[in-house]
Amino acid sequence: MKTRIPIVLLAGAAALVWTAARAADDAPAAKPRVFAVITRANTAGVRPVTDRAFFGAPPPIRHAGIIASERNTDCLQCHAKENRIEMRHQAIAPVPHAEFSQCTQCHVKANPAVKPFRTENTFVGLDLPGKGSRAHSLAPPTVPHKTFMRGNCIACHGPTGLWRIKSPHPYRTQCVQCHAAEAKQDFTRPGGKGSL
Amino acid sequence: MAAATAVLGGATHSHIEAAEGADGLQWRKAPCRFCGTGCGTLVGVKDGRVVAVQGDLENPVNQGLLCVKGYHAGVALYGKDRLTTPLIRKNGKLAPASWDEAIDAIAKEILRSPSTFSFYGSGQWTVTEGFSVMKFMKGGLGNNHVDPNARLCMASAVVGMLTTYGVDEPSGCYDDFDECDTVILWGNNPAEMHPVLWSRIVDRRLRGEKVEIIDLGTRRTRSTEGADHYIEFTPQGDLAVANGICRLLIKWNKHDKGWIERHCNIRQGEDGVGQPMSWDDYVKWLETYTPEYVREVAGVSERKLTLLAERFADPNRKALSLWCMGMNQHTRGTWINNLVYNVHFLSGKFGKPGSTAFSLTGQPSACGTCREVGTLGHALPGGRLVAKPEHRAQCEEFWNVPAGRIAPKPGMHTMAIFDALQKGDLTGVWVQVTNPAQTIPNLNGFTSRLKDRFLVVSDVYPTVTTDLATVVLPSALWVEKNGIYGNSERRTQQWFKMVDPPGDARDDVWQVLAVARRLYELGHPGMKNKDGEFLFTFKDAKGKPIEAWKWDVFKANNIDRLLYEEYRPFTQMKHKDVAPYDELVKARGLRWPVTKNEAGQWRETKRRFVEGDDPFVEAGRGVDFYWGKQGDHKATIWARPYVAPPEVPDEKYPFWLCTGRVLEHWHTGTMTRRVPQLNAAMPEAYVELHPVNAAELGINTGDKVRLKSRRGELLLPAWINGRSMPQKGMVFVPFFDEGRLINLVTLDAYCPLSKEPDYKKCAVSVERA
Repeated sequence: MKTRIPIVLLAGAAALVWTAARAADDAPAAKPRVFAVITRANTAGVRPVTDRAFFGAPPPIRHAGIIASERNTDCLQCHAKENRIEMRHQAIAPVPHAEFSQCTQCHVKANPAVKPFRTENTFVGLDLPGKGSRAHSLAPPTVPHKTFMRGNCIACHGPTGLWRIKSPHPYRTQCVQCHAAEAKQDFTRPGGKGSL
Repeated sequence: MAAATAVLGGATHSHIEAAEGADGLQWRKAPCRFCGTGCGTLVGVKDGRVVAVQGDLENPVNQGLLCVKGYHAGVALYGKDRLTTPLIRKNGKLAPASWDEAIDAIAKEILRSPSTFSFYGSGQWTVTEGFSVMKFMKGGLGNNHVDPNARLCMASAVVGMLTTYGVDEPSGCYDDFDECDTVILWGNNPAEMHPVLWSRIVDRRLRGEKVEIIDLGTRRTRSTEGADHYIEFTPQGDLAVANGICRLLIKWNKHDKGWIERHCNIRQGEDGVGQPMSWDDYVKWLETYTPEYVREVAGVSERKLTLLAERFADPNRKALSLWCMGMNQHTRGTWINNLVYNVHFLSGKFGKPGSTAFSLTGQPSACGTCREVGTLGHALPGGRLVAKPEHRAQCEEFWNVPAGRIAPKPGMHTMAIFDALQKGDLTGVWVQVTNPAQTIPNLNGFTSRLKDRFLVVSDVYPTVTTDLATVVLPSALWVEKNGIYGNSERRTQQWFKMVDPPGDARDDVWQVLAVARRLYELGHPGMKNKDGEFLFTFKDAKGKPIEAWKWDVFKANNIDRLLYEEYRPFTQMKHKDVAPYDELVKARGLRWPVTKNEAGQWRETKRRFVEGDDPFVEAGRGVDFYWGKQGDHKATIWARPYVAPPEVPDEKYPFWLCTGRVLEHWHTGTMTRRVPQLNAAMPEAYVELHPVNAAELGINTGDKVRLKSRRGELLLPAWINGRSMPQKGMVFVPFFDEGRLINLVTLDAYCPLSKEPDYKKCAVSVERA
């Protein structure tokens, strides 16, 4: 019981930082960026140069230099959903879509040392979807993207996620109790517009 | 509307056709650009550029999932070196030219010698691209030398089906993958080559279903990782294994006598016609294939052969055979296809949910274009033959060209075309959507003189083939044009153009129409139809002619729809009825035959030849092979022997060489290598060795290795204990790397029936360089 109080306090402080950060985000949306410029603290080894091509693309494996394995089963040694937040004092993103088992058919190794083939590529990927909507400043924001293959929110919104989208309260596990997925993001629902 | 939705499998969410998100982002459907699986994608377009690709949840093929190539298909459009202007070789160098110059140069060359010109196309041609080339060449020039790269890919599957049940393309469909108990992979690695279908099978286990996978192969792969049993065989041993299974089934008295009696005849011989054979003679003939013999020639133990045969002997087990290049790129490709059908026929495991023999196709429209349109030297659209006068007459009538326009002599197949180009018997070739200077086997023997011929290449990027070209035409890619693809399970899928092609790049269809028009202007008589009009005469709804050879007019009209509707009657000649264009627009693909039911609704066919599903089956037959070659509504069980391959390892060249693809790259990598994420993951070709062989030769991962065959040699870095492991005495090299052309080394021997070369086995020497 005793240990819970500081966590709540910390979480409160984090929420303040979060709110401040969000206020800064209210500036007009910048132009879509090439995703290669987005970096984040990497907990498992080589700092990435290549990143996912667009929001919704499968992220490449950033620690290719450390783990040589090509086997899908090995991925789950660390990334199994049950491991959730930490393992060996490292934050590791758990699998957000446990309904699929063939990790390496979508996630390929990011090897920053490789030079481009023949020439550069000028693709500009879709940027992050921006914020969900809120009824008022203290209301929980909605989910601004579709949830297919994103069944485990903590995979992106946990400690390994981009700081802007990190949950201030990772200890609360029932995310969709408060954060409703917007129906308009979902093709399969009437009137759905089908964002990523 | 609700009823219609049910008939079309619930795939009528047409509202997404122009669904627009909050930020001006539009999502539209398109089948994936790459393999024959035919996954549905939704392509996100903003400000005239593709910005994202997602899996289409509504598409029954992939149900929302893509593989890494599919997710990055949009990135492949934006390599900085896209071809944006026509190029003509002047003083030995390719120099920018106008479209008029380029089209004029091609037309004049064809006019100079129409009969020695040829067309080499692709299983990545859209349906209408293939169809317009067929009409141009066969219905216009009266020249049958049209063949696609699919000859190198699925010709053996085609001839296998034609000789087995008289009509091309599978009976089963992907639904069978969801229902089978056992999957047998015949030299197949779907974990890398058909990843989404592989997931469709393997991920059933996560839902608590049991599905057993038996990997019958020559090399341990990612698919082996998911298999319950790995059964290794010596290259070419598959012929003996299949016959060995049949022998055991009969020996155990576990063959399905009723099924065989009702649905099969038996024939023997080496060719495509053969002679009748009695059941007793067949049983006697099979006596060669004892477990001892199978062990001797295939290296498969009796225990493992028995394990395989037991899966077919069990009447309650639903068994699915899958194969792709392992069986097709085989000097006895037609035979091994025949033999796998034998196994399924003898066990009665055919035409039932979960039980079928399913040939996976490599390219996105090998089925839709090469096989259904029939872009092959000997074929005419709709599964018909050049050699048959009544087929030619019918085709001439459909095309409204004078009787006798189509030449009676079948055109050359791919290997013959490149041989004739090498020798100078053909003087020119127009290549579209493929890269033969990288993919033809034994390049030294077949493409080294290409630069001396009139070589026209339509492509999207510079390739090793455009390097040799006389004229290069910049093409539109994937969602830069309207298109239709047909996938492995007979599913025809349509998409609309979403973004403009870069610079002055234009559709392949338009390029053909423009050259045809130029030839018409130059007075080539073949470019007129029976009424004296231009061969490609299109009319709008009011009957006004559409001058489609003008780029602005072409762009403003959906020529794809007009050509497809012109093609559609051909498909009704052999019960391959494809859906009307406007139905395809509404659906996430429809599996042919697509016919109208009594209520007037369009319905697709899941399983061909099966009563209650296929509308062409005669009532009461259960399973009806209505195109059976003997006219008896039966399929053929073929007595096809084991014969040794044409080149086997010896003292001088002691290793088998097998070649193939990898997950990250599509064929020669011209598109996927320009995707940074894919290039970084798989930057260069390598040679895989068995660790024991590597130790013997003192080779470590990363060491340079020299491979040498009777035809050529190549230096490659070694990769040992990596993604895959070939059997002892075999090496594997992928063919995507234009900087390391493994086809300098491969063998040009091909199946005498299908004319498909064997890229999977030849003899090489291996040494540390």
